[in-house]
Amino acid sequence: MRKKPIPGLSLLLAVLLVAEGCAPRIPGLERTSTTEAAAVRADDEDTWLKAHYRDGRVAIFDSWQVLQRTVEGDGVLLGADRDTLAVGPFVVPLDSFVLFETDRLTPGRSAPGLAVMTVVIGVVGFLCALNPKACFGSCPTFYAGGDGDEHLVAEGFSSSVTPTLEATDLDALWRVRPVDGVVVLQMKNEALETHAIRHADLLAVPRGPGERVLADGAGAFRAVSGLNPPAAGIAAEGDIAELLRAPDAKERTSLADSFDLATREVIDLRFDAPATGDLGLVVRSRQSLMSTYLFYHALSLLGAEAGSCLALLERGGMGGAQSLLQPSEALGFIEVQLPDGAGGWRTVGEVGETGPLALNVHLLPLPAGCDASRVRLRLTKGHWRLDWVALATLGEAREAVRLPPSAALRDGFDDPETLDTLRDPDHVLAALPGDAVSLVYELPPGDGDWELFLEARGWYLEWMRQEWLGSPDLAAASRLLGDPAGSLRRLAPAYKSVESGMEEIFWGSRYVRAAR
Amino acid sequence: MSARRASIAAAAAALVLGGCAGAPGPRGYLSTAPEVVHTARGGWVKVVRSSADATFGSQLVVEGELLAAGADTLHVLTGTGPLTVVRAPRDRVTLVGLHNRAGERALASLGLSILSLSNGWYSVITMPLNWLVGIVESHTQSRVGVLEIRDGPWDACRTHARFPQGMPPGLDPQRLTLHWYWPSAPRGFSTPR
Repeated sequence: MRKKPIPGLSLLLAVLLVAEGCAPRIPGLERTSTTEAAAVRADDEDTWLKAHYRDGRVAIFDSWQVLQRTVEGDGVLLGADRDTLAVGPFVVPLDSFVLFETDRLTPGRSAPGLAVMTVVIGVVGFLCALNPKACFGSCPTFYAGGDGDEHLVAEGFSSSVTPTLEATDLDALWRVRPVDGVVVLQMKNEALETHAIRHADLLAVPRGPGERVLADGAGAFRAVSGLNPPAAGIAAEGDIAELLRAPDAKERTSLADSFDLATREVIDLRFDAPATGDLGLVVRSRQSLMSTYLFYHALSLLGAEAGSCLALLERGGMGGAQSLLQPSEALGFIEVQLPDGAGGWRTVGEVGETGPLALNVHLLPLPAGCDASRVRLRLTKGHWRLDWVALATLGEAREAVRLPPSAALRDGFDDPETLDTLRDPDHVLAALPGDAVSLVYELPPGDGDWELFLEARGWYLEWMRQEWLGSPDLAAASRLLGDPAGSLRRLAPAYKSVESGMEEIFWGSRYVRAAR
Repeated sequence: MSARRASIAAAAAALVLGGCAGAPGPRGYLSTAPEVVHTARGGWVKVVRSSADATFGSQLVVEGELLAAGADTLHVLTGTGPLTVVRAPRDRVTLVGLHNRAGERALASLGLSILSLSNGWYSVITMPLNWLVGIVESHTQSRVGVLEIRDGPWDACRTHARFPQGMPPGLDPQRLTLHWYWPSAPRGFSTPR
């Protein structure tokens, strides 16, 4: 049977071959010695002959010819202390010499490893330049953990791309563990953006043993228990239930449609013996880079006019700033459907959140008394990464305790100005690329267990990249914002041409895996 | 990775790479391969002798230009004059025939470390991977042109001796001088001629 070629291996071999050929070499030396004149290597361009006299002198020939009784050639005669005695053509009897050495310059090693690393770093750098969000994050990113164990736990208000789109974002901090009643989060600006942060408060919700607390889409908190993963999950590629059974960062993804980015797919979930009572569907997910691509594309179409166009949108013109989000909104969130009793499905709500970085946990309360043994998820192909789905029994509603930061530290030192700004609802904290501040939160005293959430409010401005500053194509921009459905069809081929590369960057990142 | 951490990491990498890439022998003495073909000086040799008594450990016996080598003797031109060393058990000889430019590999790797900052989060992978590759490549290059002999005959050193045919009869070694490329010799050595 003929074996299939392995493209990855072929590519690696090609890179190694190119690297081996192109890498700078450090010349080496090959030295041979003989006492027999007849065995002296013939003259060539990269070879020198050193003929040693018994008394310590040496004749170095650049070119030579060994004859029957003599050596003839051009070179230099050095004394025993290697001072120059004569230069020029020589004819020397062979019996004057006791030893012949030939030195040949060799190309030397090429350091293929460094050449491969140059290619790897260059390619990754190029891809990062094309898609900065994949490499440098976006929106305020929040990290927990110390040196060596720092992990991404939340990203704030990803869709708030102008001041009028200022929004509040609530993220469950499942991987954050308080130490002695204190929580420390690192807030960073890792993108080419200006962040304006109104506040970044911790919300602590009390929870009982074996209980979790989740936020429903309306901002209320519910205790949940009996988290029940799906017994089966049928998608186009087969049963994906194994990927959805635990919040373990093993995500189910799919590829976008080649003709229409808005094309939906369905995942049919089956739950064994769902509990009775109030139920809710828990979904842990994040977006792919599709909406990021659309937003960047919009900015590149605006080109050098981006600033004035965004100002116009901010003032309410052309449908207002909200219209900037229309292409992304056309992609939609994850619809949750239940059987309608007539052989079809009815949508009972939707879950999801804008942002490709941090995984978000969402709870959708299901209608009272519904049969939740079968649930269908309807979502845009290639737009979502699903990590975990579970059916939960809903408990009582809980109230959160709001905890503004009690300290803000920059480089380990108190920064009271930043703290005052974050605690003052009338001001926003401006953060530029590279800014990082540690926010310290003190939990209420007592032995209680808390479910933690981060509530961040603000907006951000994307910086224009050099490659976007070409001539504006305002007609295309207008079409993109005014006819998102048509634009999603027109842009499908272009997106498909970069989709796999964008995904590979993400999936190849151990950092992102560790962060989830 | 923050800029501060990255710069600390790059500095650490420079130290590690620099340490790994350090070819034995004084830089002011050794010639590169294209220069060696035009000269006829000996390589730089070091003889370290291990004492039978572990209390005394290993000691440097001699260091300098290799004039000639036999199975049990080395003629070495040191900064203070010529010496003949007779082989003893457990002697360790390091002979460096040329300047192998291993430091350039380390510099290239350091440059790549800085370039890897353009990889954003992925520098968490590419930067240490680059260090690993850089350390291996620098170390490999640092062994080019280096001969090490532990507790064995010394004939192989002849290849990089000033007089591979052996010490010329009638030659007064006291008349020989060390030649340096750089204007200042290492401490302890005489000023170059």
